[in-house]
Amino acid sequence: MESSFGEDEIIAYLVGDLNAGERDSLDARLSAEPLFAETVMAIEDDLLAEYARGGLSGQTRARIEKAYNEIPARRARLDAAYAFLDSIRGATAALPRSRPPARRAGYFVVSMLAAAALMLAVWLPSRRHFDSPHIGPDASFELGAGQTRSGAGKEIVLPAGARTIEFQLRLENQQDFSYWRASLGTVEHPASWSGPASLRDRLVVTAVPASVLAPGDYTLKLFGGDAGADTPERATYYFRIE
Amino acid sequence: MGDWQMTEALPSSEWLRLLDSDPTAASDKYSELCRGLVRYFEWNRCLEPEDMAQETLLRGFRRLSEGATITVGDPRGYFWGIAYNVLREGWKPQREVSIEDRDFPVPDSDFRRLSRAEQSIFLRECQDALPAHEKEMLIAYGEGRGAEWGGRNGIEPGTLRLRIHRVRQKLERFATNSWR
Repeated sequence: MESSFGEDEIIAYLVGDLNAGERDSLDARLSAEPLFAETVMAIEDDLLAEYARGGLSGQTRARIEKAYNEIPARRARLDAAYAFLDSIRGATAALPRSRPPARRAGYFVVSMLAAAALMLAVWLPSRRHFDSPHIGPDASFELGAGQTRSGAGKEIVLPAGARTIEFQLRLENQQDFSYWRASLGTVEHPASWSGPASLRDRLVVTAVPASVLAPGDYTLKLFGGDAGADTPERATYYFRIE
Repeated sequence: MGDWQMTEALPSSEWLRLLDSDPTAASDKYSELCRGLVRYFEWNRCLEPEDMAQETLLRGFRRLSEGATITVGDPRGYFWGIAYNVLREGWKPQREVSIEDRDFPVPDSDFRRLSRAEQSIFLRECQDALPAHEKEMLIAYGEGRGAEWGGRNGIEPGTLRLRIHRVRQKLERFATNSWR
């Protein structure tokens, strides 16, 4: 019997939401039509890349987290999605920045103005540092593990127009794992965002899109481990966005 | 039995010939088949998907060498059918790895055990080997502009997804070879 499976059914298959009969039917189609397997693999790759990018609804993210944390091979598949996106970002950062087309005279005037502005900035004794082009986070906040939302918890006001917020997470003990991941949640949406983190000195740093930080109380969980091993939760941080 | 070499990560040409008479096409089909089988067992929450993929390959090639004939149009369908049975019968890997198992290596399995940072470095280096249009497509996709890029280039979302998947497979193949 020929069965037709759309993207939604395939995603349901991947995250374990199909019933046994539907699942068996999809498995049978894979053996009857090997090219269909490539479609399922492409949908899985795309789904996990979108997850790693911080997209998808909270509900879909939670389903993915549940399904892909069940066995190490699937967790590794999710990690590979992060590695894939990291590699593209790395390649993009390494590209030479092309200059927008400009008329020669106009370009000369702009260049002179820019040079003058640069000299002014250097000579002004009260100036401590230049405004750099937007390449990093718009703001950084350091958080200590286990601080509660009330009392000692960090209350944060996001700068207007911020796109990326960096959280610098203090560790209670030295933990030199090669793999770190952070997961952000609220009471209503326990896994509203998840993304990579990295160790910098004694802090673990993660960059969160400001778009997921509406005013409210948040829990940021930090997971760490070595490649190919489990990545249990290492610390929890609480903060409030004003 | 086989003459598998670590650097090639492929079974012997004697086995590969059963998939395609052209050696290059045969090795490509083998790699693609392995990756698909591993994923299939992952999708079905098997704890050791690579071992199960190897068992599938072992059974398939053994039967073919014993004179079984492939009745489906695409030889890969024959292996998918075996995988379906391996799964349904609840096959569990033995702790000891036999010589025969090593005759059917699973591409990329070692690469996937590298840390995320290491994988990323290898993949990034391999992107230089891609043609310019594939690189452009990849960057747009990585930056979350895939749909926009596809629209400008007349590529449907489903087609774009498949192309990205194929480019990624290619990159992982390059990266595995460069890592070895």
